[in-house]
Parts: sequence; C-alpha cells; structure tokens
Amino acid sequence: MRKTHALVQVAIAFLDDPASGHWGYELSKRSGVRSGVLYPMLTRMLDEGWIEDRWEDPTAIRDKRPPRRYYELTDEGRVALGAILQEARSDARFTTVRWRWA
Amino acid sequence: MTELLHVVASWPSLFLVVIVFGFAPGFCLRLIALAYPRSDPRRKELTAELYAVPRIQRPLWVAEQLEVALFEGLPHRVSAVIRSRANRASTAELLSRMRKRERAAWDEMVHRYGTVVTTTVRSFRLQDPDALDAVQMTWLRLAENLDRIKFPERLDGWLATTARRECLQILRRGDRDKGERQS
Repeated sequence: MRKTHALVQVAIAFLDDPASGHWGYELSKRSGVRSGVLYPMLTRMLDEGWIEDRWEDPTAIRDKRPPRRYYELTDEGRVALGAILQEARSDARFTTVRWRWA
Repeated sequence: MTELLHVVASWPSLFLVVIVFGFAPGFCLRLIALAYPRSDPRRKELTAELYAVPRIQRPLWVAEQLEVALFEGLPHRVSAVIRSRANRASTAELLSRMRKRERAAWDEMVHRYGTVVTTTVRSFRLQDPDALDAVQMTWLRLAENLDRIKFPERLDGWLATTARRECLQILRRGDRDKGERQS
C-alpha cells in the first residue's frame, strides 16, 4: 500500500490501542482521516490481512443502535503498520503528523 | 444539453438536494448502500455508523459515502452481476445434474426457485410447522418427479402448482382432524 498521510494517521490510530476493536467512525474521528478515504483503506487492509473484522454482539448493546462492525489488528498487521510508522518517522514528508504513539 | 444543465443548476433543484440530504440522510444512505454487492458487510456497517455521526454533519457524511460507493462499491456490484449471469446454468442443465444426485445442483435449485415455493405456501397462511411441511413436501415431489419434468422452462409454474396442492392437502387433513375431535 502506498504510504500516504492518511495511512500513517490510521496506523497511529490503530496502534494507539492495538488490542481492542475499532469501528469506522471512531477511527475517522481519532485519525482525522475523512470517511471517504478511510473506508476504501480499511477494505484494502482487510485484503492484505492486516486487520480482521467482526460484528458487535447485538445482545451486549445497551442503547438503541444497530451492531457495529469492528476491525481488529492481526499480528501481521501490527508488524506491517509498525514498520510503516518506523519508516514514516524518519521521512521528511510526515513531520507535520502528530506523533501520539511512542 | 444546456436545458438539462439549467435544470440541474437551478435554485429549486439545489433546494431539493438540500432537503433530501438534510432531512432524510438515513434514507439516502440506504439507497447508496445498494451500490455495494449484496454480500458486502459495508451495507450494514454504513447504516450502523450513521447514527454515531452528529446530526449536523450527517448530510455531508452521507454525501461522502455516495462518493465512495460510486468508486468502490459500484464496480464490484456490476462485475458480480455480470459474473453470476455468465455462470448461470440453464434450468434443464440443473435438472440433469440433479438427476445425477449432484448436491451443488440442488442447492442452486433451492436458491433459484425457493422464493416461488415459499411465496406460494405463504399465501395459504398456514401455521409455521405446516408451512415448513408443505415446502419440504414440494421439494420431495420434485425429487420424485425429476424424470417427468418435460418443460424445464416452466418449472416455476410446476413448483407453484405442486406447492399449492400440498397446502390444500394439509388444510384438508387439518379439517378432518378437527371434525373427528368434534364428533
């Protein structure tokens, strides 16, 4: 996948909390990537095997809303996104990105 | 052409767009989701996410989904339809494969003609177990009469008639039971 600002930001958002599931709107809020860019990217990440998707358990939902689709990092994805961030850190293009994840 | 442009760019149509996107974003989003292939989980995902988006931002968010759906969903949808058209075996072929006891052919048959049987049965408003019985019996009759189907292109009519006959039989049996209990 081509390294873009959006990809780096999504990688940061994922690795902020690598163990738990993330859903689309929350990811787009935290990464600051608009959904029109984020959703195709998530599809490509699924194809690459970097993330896995699952549906929220409808019985566990308290408030009135439909179940969400959650994305979780796979081991492969953790390595791949980590590598991307490692490279991006030394890349002059990405100096403006806020590095929350250490 | 210029007339069309005038209509599209006129104030009333802008107004209409604002109203539709502004007040019925859920409706618009569900329409947009239809651009994705039938099995794509994104269809359900998008509607689930809409309700997390703040109300003010919803119209813009929905407009953005339209953009993604046109580029991402529609090509997949179209190619899926084309592929299924190309792979579609004729009913006669299916029947001959079913005679050879091919399991996949049966699955395809039930997938293709299942609605004919279920809608016919449903029109009789039977109790659930009876309705299931009628559906099962219809498929059983097809299995028994595979060699006797002369006009594969009229199989849907044959199935509907058979289903209707099974339903009537069940209704008659129900009436008789009731009659016996009363006497």
